[in-house]
Formats: sequence, structure tokens, C-alpha cells
Amino acid sequence: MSSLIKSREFLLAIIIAVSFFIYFPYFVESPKPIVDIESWLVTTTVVIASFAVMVSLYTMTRREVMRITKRVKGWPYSLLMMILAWFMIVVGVSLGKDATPFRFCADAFVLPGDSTIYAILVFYLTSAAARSFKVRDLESLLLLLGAFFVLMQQAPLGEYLFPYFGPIGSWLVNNLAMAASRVFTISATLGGIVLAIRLLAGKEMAMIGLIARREKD
Amino acid sequence: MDIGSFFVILLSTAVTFGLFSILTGVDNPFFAWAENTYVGGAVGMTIVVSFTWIVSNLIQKILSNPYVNWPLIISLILGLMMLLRVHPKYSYLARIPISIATGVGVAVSTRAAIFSGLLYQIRATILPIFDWRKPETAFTNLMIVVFVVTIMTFFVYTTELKGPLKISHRIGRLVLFASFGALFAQTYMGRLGLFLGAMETLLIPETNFRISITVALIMLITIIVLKRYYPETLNKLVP
Amino acid sequence: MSSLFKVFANIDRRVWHLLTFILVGYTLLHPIGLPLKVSPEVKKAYEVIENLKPGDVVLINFDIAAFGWDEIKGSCLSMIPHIFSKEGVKVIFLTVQDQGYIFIERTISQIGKPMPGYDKFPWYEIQGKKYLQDYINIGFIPGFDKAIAALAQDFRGVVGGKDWYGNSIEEWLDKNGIKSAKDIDLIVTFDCAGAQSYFVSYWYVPFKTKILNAMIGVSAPGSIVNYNAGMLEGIVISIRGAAEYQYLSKYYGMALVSMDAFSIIQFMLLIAILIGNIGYYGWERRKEKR
Repeated sequence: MSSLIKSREFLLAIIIAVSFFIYFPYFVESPKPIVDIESWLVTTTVVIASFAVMVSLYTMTRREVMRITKRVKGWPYSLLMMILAWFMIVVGVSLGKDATPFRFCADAFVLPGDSTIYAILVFYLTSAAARSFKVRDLESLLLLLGAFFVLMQQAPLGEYLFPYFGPIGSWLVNNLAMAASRVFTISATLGGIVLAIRLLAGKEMAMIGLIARREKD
Repeated sequence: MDIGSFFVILLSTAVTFGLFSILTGVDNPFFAWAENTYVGGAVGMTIVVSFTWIVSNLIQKILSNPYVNWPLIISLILGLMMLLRVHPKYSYLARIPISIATGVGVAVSTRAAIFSGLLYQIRATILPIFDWRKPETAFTNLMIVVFVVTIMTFFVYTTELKGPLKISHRIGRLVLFASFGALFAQTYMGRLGLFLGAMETLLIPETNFRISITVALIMLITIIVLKRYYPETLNKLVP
Repeated sequence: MSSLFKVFANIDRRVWHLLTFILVGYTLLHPIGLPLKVSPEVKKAYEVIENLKPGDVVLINFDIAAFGWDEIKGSCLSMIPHIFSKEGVKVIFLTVQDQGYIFIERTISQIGKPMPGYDKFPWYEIQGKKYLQDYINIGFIPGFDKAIAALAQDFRGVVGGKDWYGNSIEEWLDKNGIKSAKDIDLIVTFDCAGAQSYFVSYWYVPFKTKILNAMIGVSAPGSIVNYNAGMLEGIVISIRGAAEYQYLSKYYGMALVSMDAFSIIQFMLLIAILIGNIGYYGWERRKEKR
């Protein structure tokens, strides 16, 4: 039995079966049992993802406990991380996510950290732009001009000083940048379709943990 | 202001400036503290929200009417099999729920993307370029078609670039650079907006402003003193 | 002169960091009040909401996590009151982000007030519209793209019979004729992670449901593509779009005030690029030649 479950063919059969129940009702008017199976599969995937998060908790805890017990440099910070994580889990699970201690930790530590992590990027973007937006050739000049006109269109002061920045910047965003984004969207979709076909053909089994490949693949 | 709100503001300001302290270019204990606190809190929050959903939408539904909701029992079993990923002997059983999730995930994202990400985008690129009653629109449409086609030829790697393909490739490269500049500006606008929002929280109202200035100055002075006068201590305090 | 070029070429990045902090702090506390031009996309979004009729059902999706809240809150705090100001419109709040329920409550507490006799969620009234009479909050539905797809396929099944707080909503949904995804007249999605593309795929493509999208700057290119393809009715891009919407709807807020700081920092970036180029041509390039 375990050799059957471990076999590549068994897992591939599961993938093909679930893919059928997802694709078929979308393109073809299907009887209710098939539509119900599709809904059930989507719900089950959400359930599996929720449990997968628990797996990450285990691996994180194991790694940090090893760092603490071996007194690796910086172990007090690992201890702090573990205490806070488990405190929030115990309080949240036992008292609910609306409990005051849970909301306190979320408002004091998680939410400001989340917004700051991305806000820091503005500083790195500024210093990186100062270093890398150097006009060496035609390409870098176009890069700079594209950025210049859109920055001027975005800043109200830019449009106030020279009204034509607005239409030029808008035109660049809605046509030039939009065209590039459209190509990226089409390319990403084509890549996704190729990935889906390769998955159904059994060529992308690394996605489900079968990393050993046969030579004829 | 009550004591709870005061401590929330104080700690959130400390976490914010702790993370900002990396901008000094010095690896410091405030950043290490803020980083680990944030990661621990984020993990705790994610687990609690997932667990709450499992209990309220899965287990409670099963318990309320197991005869009608029996498929959810299978979902629960598959979810529990996922936990076996960490077991040294039975981790192979986790491949079943992973296969289901992978198959469903890829299929769900691909089936609709065929329309919205491919067909509708191609349709939107087929534009009237010879409508001389509206020359501005015709010119814009022509530019969009030229931009999309030339950028696409830039990504052709499987054939030798010669003749018209080479010219198209070159134009596509130039158009791509200009569009990267525009996209950089949009990304910058986004990040700047985030930073402005964060600064607004730190500076308004006046209580927040005073707490922010105090915390920022304490951190900055401590980092400068440690860096200049106690570098060994600083080295010990960072991971 | 060459020493000046050398200074320009080797400016410590921390100088820019400090200048950013000082300029933003000063202009936020002492705004100048520069004029603002409204873009056609935001105007269109405004008109869609302005033209809502009694009986229309609006689904408001909070694809918002903390990393995008500061940027997108200006849109939330102006578009949502505008929706609630329309007579007879029914609203369903939901979120596909695990932190989103926090921001739904934050928004409601800022634009509404507790109903008479109540002092906690969800019993808030917004512009006279009461909870469980004019609007409901379904809360968090996990799965992101799968949740959006599942809602389109089996709206009542996924929503269930209870709201985020455990109150029964079956009667409310029946009374307002909400049986399936086709009964939703407008979707307003506030995006940090690109949920609009899934709403377009699963709601616009089969049902031609109107969708408005307010998003963070990083997600803007994807939204602009769909807007230009006609799949989105209107878009409100980042903090600049939020400021324009606040100006149009007269629900003024910090996004509008932040526009001065926004302008100053963008100019500072251009000056940084200019100084970098002067340093490059005056010092680095000559050093390379030497």
C-alpha cells in the first residue's frame, strides 16, 4: 500500500483527476454532482493550506529551539520570537482572536512591523536611483526620461509647474507602461498554461516533492 | 488616553523605529529586537486566524450536521494528513493532500487566466489604427500595437535575429527601458505612499509625535554611542 | 570644482535617508496646499459610485494587509462613505486576507458610530445605515483566489448562514434578493495583493459584474492593463488616487494632506538623480578615463 502511495503514477492520477473536476465544469455545462465535487475540492484545498501553516509553525519552532539550546549567537532574540509567537497562539486559540491580549500584540508588534517592512523600501529606492540612474547610453536615457515624466505627472507640484507633464506622464503610463505590463501578463499566462500542461503530463513532479528525476524526462 | 493605548503606541513606535534603524547602516540590537518581535507576532497571528477558520467553518459545520456535511470530514482528514509532513516515517502520506492542492491551485488559476490574461488582452490589443476621423485615438492605438508587438519580439530567443525581427527587437528593447522607468516611478509612488501613511501614524496627533521623537532620539544616540565607543558590546548584542 | 564632483559622486546614502525623514515630517505637519488635478480613471470610479441606485448590492472586498493599509486607507475612508451615502444601497463586506478583518473594523469605526444601545462590533451605523439592516460583514474567507472563485460559483454556500460575528444573515440575504453572484451589482476591491485579477476572471468574465479597483502602487500596472481592456470600470491608484477621490467626494483626509510631502520627496528623488549624474560625469567618468 505504501509503495502505491509513494509511486509517481498514483500522485499523477490524483492531479489529473482533480484537474478534470476543476476544468470540466468551468467550460462545459455540468450536472450537479460534478459541480459539487468542484466546490468540495476548492474547499478542501483551502483546508489543506490552513493545515500547511501549522507545519511551518513546527519547523520554525524546531529550528529556533535548536538555536536556543545550542546558544547560537543571537539566541535571546530567538527566545523572544518563540515566546511571543506561542503566547499569541495560546491566547488566540483559547480566548479568541478578539481577546484583548491578542489584539494588543497584533496592534503593537505585527501591524506596525508589516507596514514598516515595505515602507523602508522607499529609502533604498531613493539611494538606488541616485546611484543607478546614470545616463551612459540611449537605453539609460530612455529609462531616466520614462521615470522623470511619470514622477512629474504623479507629483501635484510637477503638474502645477508645467501643465504638460500631466498628459505626457499619463500617456506614458496608459500606453507605454501598459503595453509592457500587457506583454508580461500574456507571457505569465502562457507560462502558467505551459506549467499546467507539464503538471498534467507528469513533468513537474518536483512541485509535489518528488525531486528525483528519471533520465528520460 | 488609557494605559493600554499608551503602551500600544509606545511599542508600535519602538518596532517601527527599530526597523527603520537599519537605515543607519549599522547592524544594531534595536533592529534585531524589532525584526524578531515582528516575525514571532506575524507567525502567531497567521496560525490563530487559520485555526479559527478551521474550527468555525469546518469542525463546527461537521458537528452541526455530520450526515449532510460528511464530505468535510474527508477534507479534515486530508488536512490532518498534511501534518504528517514532519513525521520521519509517514511523511510520504502528506504528498496526497499536496497533490490535490497543487492540482486544484494550478487548475483554478489557469482556467480563467486563459480568458482574462490571454484572450482578452490580445483582443484589447486589436485596435483600430486607421480611423482618421479621430487621429489622436488612431495614433495612440497604433503606438500600443507597435509597443506590444516590439516588446514581444524582444523576448524571442529561439530564432536568429535578422532583418525586420532585429529592428523590432531593438525598438522593443528601447520601449522596454522607457517603460521600466515609468514602472519604477509607479513603484516609487506606491512605496512613498506607504511611508507617508506610516509617518502620519507616527507624527499625528501630538502624543504620537512626542513619543516618536523621544524613541527615535534614544535609538539614534544609543546606536552612535555603541558604534563609536563600545563596538565589542555592539557586536555581542547583534545576532 | 573636481572636489565638488567627487562629493556629488560619493554622497553617503544616509544623507538621502535623513533628508527624506526631515522633509516628510515637516511637510506633513505644515502642509502647503498645492492644487491637485483629478485623473479620468478616478473620475470614472467616482461616477460609478455616484450612479448607484436604490436596491443595488455592493460587495466590498478588503484585500488589505498591514503592509498596504497606510497607502490604501485614504481610498477606503472616502470611497466607502460615498457608497454608504447612496440611498437604498446594500453593502456586503468581506476580506480574502487574514488581517483584513482588522481593517474592515478600523474603517467602520472611523467612518461610523455605534448604533444606539450598542457599544461594540458589529453594531455600527454608517451614515444612518445600520448593521444587519443595510450592510453585513462576512469577514475572512481563506483561499484568496480560490475563495473568490468559490464565491462566484456558489455565493450562498461559501458565505454560509452566519456573518463574521456569528449572527444569522440568511434572512437579510433572502430579503435583499441575494441568491448568487449574479445578484451583486458592483464589486469594489481594495487590493494589496492583486485580488482584482481574480475578480475579473471569475466575476467579470462570466457575469460582466462591474468592478472598481483601488490598489497600492505596486499592483497598479496589472490593474491599468485590465482597465484599458475594459474589464475594470474605474481605478484609484495608490495614495495619489486616494487624494483625488477625497477631493472629488469631499470626504477629505490625510491622503490629500500628504500630497505636498509626496511632491517634495519626488522632487528630492529627481535632485538625487541629477546630483548622481553630475558626480558621474564630473568625477567617475573622468576617473575611468584616467
